[in-house]
Amino acid sequence: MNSKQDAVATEPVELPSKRIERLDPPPALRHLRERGPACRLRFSDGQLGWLVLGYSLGRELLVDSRFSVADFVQPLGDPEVVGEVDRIERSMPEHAGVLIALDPPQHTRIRRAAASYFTVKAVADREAAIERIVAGRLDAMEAAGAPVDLLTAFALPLSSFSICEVLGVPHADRERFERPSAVLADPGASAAEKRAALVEFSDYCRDVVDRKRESPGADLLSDLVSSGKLSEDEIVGLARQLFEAGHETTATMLTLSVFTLLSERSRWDALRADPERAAAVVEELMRYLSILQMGTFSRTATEDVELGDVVIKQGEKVVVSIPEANRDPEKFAEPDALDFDRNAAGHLAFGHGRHMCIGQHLARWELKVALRGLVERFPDLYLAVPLEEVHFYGGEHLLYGVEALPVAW
Amino acid sequence: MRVVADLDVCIGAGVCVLTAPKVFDQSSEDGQVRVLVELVPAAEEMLVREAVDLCPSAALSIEDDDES
Repeated sequence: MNSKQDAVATEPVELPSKRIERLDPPPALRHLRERGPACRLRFSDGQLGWLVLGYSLGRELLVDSRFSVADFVQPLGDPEVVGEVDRIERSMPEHAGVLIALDPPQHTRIRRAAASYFTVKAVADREAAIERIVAGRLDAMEAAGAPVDLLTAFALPLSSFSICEVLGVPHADRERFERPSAVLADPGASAAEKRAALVEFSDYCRDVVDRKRESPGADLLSDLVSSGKLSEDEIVGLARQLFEAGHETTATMLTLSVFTLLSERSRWDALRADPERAAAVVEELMRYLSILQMGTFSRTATEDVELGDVVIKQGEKVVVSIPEANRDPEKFAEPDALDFDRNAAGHLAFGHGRHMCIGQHLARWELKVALRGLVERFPDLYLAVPLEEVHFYGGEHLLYGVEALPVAW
Repeated sequence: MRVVADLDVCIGAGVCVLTAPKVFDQSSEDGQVRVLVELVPAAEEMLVREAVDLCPSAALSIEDDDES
C-alpha cells in the first residue's frame, strides 16, 4: 500500500491545520497517515518537500545525520513575513549560537558547553527552587482571589522565573524576554515588528552577558562568559534561544494540561487522588497534546536519502508532524485515549535526534511540581467559564494552546 | 549484556539517565553519558534496552555476551 509510486503519486498538500476536536490533531493529518508514513508537502513559500506522519519513520529521520537544519523553514505562515524575518535573523552575528539552526560540529560544541545545566541531576537539584516558585504563585493566586487566568497568574511567571534561575537573571527581567518572544510568536505581527523584537531581544541578551562579565554568579551564562568556550555572539544567540524556548513552551503546555484535566473531571480526580502520579501524567499529556503543532522545524536532505518507501532528494525539506506521529497506533495502542497508565516514553513531543529539547528535564520538573501543587492547594479547581468559551490559538501558531484559562476554586 | 556509549555523537540529552538511572549518569562538565555499570545486571536489562532504543542521538548500543 505504501509503495514508492503511491507516495510520489499523492498530490502535494499544504500542512493541515484545521482541528475539529480541540485536543486532537487536525483530522486531515490522520487521513494522510493512513495512506502512508509520508506525503509530499507544499511549503507556504511554494517549494515542494515532505511531511512525515508515521512515528517510526519520523524517529528514523530525526536521528539521520544526512539532514541539515541550517536553512530550516516553517511550513505555515505568511511567506513574505516569515522569509523576511528569517533573513534578518540569519544576518545577525548572534545567529552563530542559535542551536536549532546549527549542524555539527558547531552545534555539538555549543550544546555541550550548556548541557551540564540541563542534566537530569542538575535539574533535580533545583527541585526546592521550583517548589518555592510554584508555592509563590499559588500564594499569589489565593491572595488575588478567584477567578484568575491560570496562564498569566501561574503558568507564565512560573516558567519564566525557572529559566531566570538557570540563566542567572533576576525574576524582574521576565518582561524583557517575554515581550519580544510574544511578538516573534505572534503570526499577526508584521516583519517590521518582528525585526524590532529581535533587536530588542538580542540587546537584552547582550546586556545580560555584559552584566555577567562584570559580576559573575553561579549560573549558566556566567559560566559561559568566564570559560571562554564560546564567543560572545554565540553566548548571546544561545541565551536568546534559551530565554525564548524556556518559558513559552512550558507555560503553554502547563495551561493546556490544566484545561485537559479540568475538561473531564475524572482526569483531574485521578491526579488529585494520587499526586505522586504527576510524572506519568505529565509524560502522557506531553504525548497526547504535542503542542508543537506545526511539527519539527524543517530538515534539508544533504544528499538523496532513501528511508522506508520514500526517497528524499538532495535539497528537499522535510517536516515531521509531531502531533500525528504521537498518535500512531503502531507505537501507541489506542492513541486517542489519554491514558495515565500507559508507558508514554518515546513520544516525540520534545523532538528527537541531536536537536531534542535541551530543557526537557527542566520542563518535566516544572510541569510535575506545578500540577502537583495545583491539585494539593486547590483540589476543587474548576474552569470559571463554559468549555466553549475557552479560546485556542489557531493553526498558524507554532504552538497549540489557550489564549487564557479562567479558573476558580 | 554489555552497554557501550559513543561519546562522539552523544548530545547529553539525559534520556538514558531518566530511563535507567542505576546504569547511566551524565558528566557534570558537558552532560555526556557516563556508563556506570558496563556489564548490565539482569534486573536492569529491560530498562537498558529501552534506554538504548530511546537515545535521541543513537549513541548507545548493546553487545550481548554471546556476541562479544
